[in-house]
Amino acid sequence: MNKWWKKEYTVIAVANVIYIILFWVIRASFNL
Amino acid sequence: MSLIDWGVLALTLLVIIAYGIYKTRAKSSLDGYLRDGKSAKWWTVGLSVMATQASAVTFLSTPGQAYDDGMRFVQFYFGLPIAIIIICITFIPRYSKLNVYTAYEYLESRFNLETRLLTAFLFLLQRGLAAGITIYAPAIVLSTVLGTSLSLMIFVIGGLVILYTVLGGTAAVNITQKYQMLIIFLGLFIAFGIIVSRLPDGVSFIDSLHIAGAAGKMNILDFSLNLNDRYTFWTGIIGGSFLALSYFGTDQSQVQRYLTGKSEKESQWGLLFNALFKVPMQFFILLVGIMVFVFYQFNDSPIFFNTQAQEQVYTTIQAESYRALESELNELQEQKRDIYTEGLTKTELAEQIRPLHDQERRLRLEAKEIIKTAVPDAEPNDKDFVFIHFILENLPIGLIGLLLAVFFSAAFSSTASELNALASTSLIDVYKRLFRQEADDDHYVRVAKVLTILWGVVAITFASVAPLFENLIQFVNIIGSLFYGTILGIFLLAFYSKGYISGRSVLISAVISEIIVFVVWRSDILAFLWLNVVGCISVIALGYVIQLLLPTKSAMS
Repeated sequence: MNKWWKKEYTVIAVANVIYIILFWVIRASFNL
Repeated sequence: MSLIDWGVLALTLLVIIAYGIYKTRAKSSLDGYLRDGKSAKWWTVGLSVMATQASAVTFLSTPGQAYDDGMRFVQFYFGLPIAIIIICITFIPRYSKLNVYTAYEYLESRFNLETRLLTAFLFLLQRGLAAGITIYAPAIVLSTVLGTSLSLMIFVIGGLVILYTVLGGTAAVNITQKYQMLIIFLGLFIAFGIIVSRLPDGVSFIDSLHIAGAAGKMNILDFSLNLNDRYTFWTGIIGGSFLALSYFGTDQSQVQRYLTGKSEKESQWGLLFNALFKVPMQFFILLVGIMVFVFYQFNDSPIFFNTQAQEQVYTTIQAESYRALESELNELQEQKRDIYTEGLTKTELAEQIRPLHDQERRLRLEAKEIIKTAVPDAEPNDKDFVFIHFILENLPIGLIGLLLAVFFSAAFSSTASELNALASTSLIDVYKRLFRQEADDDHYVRVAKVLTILWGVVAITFASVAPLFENLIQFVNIIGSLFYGTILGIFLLAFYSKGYISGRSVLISAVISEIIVFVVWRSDILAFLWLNVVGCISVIALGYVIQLLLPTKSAMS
């Protein structure tokens, strides 16, 4: 596994963390 | 449904199938038939993996799930990206190195033939039954709403899938899945656009999210530590990781999709495509369901979405009490509309609307009880009918056909992968390994075709008799989680125990772990997703313990 591949996995991980943060924002903004 | 819609539906499905058969007519080698000659690009792998996982039930049920229970179902998929990254790092390089046709082949090279056969057998048992349900579940909904017989629907779905999967093998499955996914995305985006455009004047998309939120439907994240709740953040991220690791890493219906990758990198990219888009995709499908919910806040909805079952109630002595519930619901819906147009703040809206939602829920439950007694044959859960009812009642002619093509495409694509994988495993791990090791490719391709037909017939037969055994359907739905953890544990030991654990220790630990999983399942103390964790961890722990004990025991004897 080279460095380039590691970068791909990081992108996926970061993207999914961003999704969860967005979901948290959506819940906080809309769910009562 | 109009003739134009039937035309759009038939044309969409048949053109994709015909194209798939035409493009793959010349595959004669075993590698070509089972792995598409390892020629697939990452986007083909990615869409194929996605299409395999997303069955018709995903598109029929998920919007209904959001309508009923809100957005929290999305948490179920949080573990998937973690699992996929592990598979890309650990599983794919090992499968590639040994150039395997099935995941189970790998286990013989690491442990022994018995371990390979045990996991292959568990896969055949579980996936063979599940293939029947993959056909049955949409067939029961589609036959009801389209007014056709259930048997005809099962035969059409099963028959068409068998046709192109037999003729073109894995390549035909791959190529059709690409276009089926295109239809699925197109259909969903159009449905979403239409719902938003049908919101009343003065109600924006953001307003609609507030309306859903006031009803508690925007409950996307739940951090509670309840182990018996399947839709929490923790269950999703931990239980979901184990489930996805087992499903994508060891279930041949998925492994076969990425084994078609042109290179290790193409396979990895195909899976990573899913790690990137699966969560947003599920979020979007749930959002469609939320928008359907909001749509029905401003438009009348039936008290029970399986309206065919309703028609039957009207002919029974329960009709009067059922109609009384319906008029109560109509009044309630009027009251809700008045509240929505009062221009209340978020909190005021929630305070006023919540009691009405609770009341509506009670009315719907009462209606369901009447349906259960008056029409015992009808499915008492109308969640699966919510989205399709909306489509049939509200979409323009032509688009109804396209949206129905979404459900059929999803049914075809997941069933095709299952039949394809069942045939590959029974050919490679059983027939070729145990009965005929040396034969030419023509012979094996012929056998693979016969096996695909046989598994297709098994699936159609099971789908046809499924309604007779309600408990069996429920059992098949959880059977995956009963075996997945154990199978995953075996694979992880194969990858990471570095030759320390013997095949014998693995087999003993697998049998004991399976007993533990069954005991935990029967005692009903954990949500089913956690069974994957229990099975996997106990195989690994017991594997090491038994390996320590075995030599001592033999020395003593």
